[in-house]
Amino acid sequence: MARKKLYRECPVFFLYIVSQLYRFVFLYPIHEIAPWQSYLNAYIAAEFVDVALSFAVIYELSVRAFRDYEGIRELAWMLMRWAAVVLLLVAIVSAAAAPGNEHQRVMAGLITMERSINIVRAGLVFLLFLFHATLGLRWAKSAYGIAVGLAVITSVELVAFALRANFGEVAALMMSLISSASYSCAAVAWIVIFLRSTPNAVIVGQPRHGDIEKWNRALLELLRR
Amino acid sequence: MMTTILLIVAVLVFMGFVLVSVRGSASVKGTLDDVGSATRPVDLLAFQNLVDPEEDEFLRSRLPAREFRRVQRIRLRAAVDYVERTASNAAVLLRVGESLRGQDPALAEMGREIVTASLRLRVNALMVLGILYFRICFPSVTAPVQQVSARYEELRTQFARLARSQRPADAGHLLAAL
Repeated sequence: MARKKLYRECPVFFLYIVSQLYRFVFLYPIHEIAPWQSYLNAYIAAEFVDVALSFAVIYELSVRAFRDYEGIRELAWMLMRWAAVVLLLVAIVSAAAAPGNEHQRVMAGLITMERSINIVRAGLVFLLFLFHATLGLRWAKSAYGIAVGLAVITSVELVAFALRANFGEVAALMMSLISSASYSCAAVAWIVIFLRSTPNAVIVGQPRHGDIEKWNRALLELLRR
Repeated sequence: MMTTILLIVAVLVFMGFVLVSVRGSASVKGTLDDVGSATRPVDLLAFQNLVDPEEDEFLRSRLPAREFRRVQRIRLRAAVDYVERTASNAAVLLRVGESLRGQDPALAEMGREIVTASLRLRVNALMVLGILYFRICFPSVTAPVQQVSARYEELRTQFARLARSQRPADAGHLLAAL
């Protein structure tokens, strides 16, 4: 993305990808060396950054999706806002109904929070797909691949956290493996999309159709003289 | 456990939807030729007759209640087909309008108007489809659905301007396809 300067098209997504790399570089040594409490604090901090950036990516996708459709822009934004509110309520209800068989209360809280966030995230991505499918909107360049990748990650994480909340420690390793696999799949999809993409070509001073006609008329008058 | 099952079902539905949208994307390019090949004609007068409240009242007064519900369901199903056609044609015209972006200003403006009219029609058609399906379940209920024909007429007018300016010879043939 950096080499092809594609970060200009979707800067927030670029930031999200970079943050994912830093997340691993930052968290892995802490996990290996530092005590569990330090890792937990670092993990929570990284999660906040991840959540903020992933919502920013969805916002960026929405802006790009509705930018060229002024006829429905207001309606789409209104629906997205209301959907976010409703999804938040669903997430809160789901968190309240979460099973409490987790021994460590901090972990239980974290898992519930992750699951709630994933519900909101998945709902918003779903709404984006729904808008495109029902209204026949055209996906902006590379936005489609980003959205599919996000959909895969969010869906798999949602299932993984739901299973983890339900089955406790037994499902922890499985959840970790499934989440990593889903992220790897999405990363491969993104790499393929951005390798194929080319930055928007800007043709400086390209004559407009009307200008060519004017020039043509002027040239004909000149030839008639 | 119930929440987990619900979440898994929701995720499966979501992924199925994404998969379908991956398969079904980008079939129409947006040329004027698409209008002749990818659209289905809509008989607006017939549609207006099907959803005319006065016609409903006339049938209600003349037929026994059970027979009225049966006839009304048949009429409403036909109306659903018309609305689906208008929505599908609007999707084709949406692509046509989008393909005019970056052309000379007058043409781009026509394209913008077609895109706006198409999207309004699609939003409207979605709502009307919901109402029609509800009325199929409860045929005695009355709810206005005529606005689709006005929106479709508006879209056809926008497209007629484009067709006449770009393909004067084919304009009649292209409009007949809508």
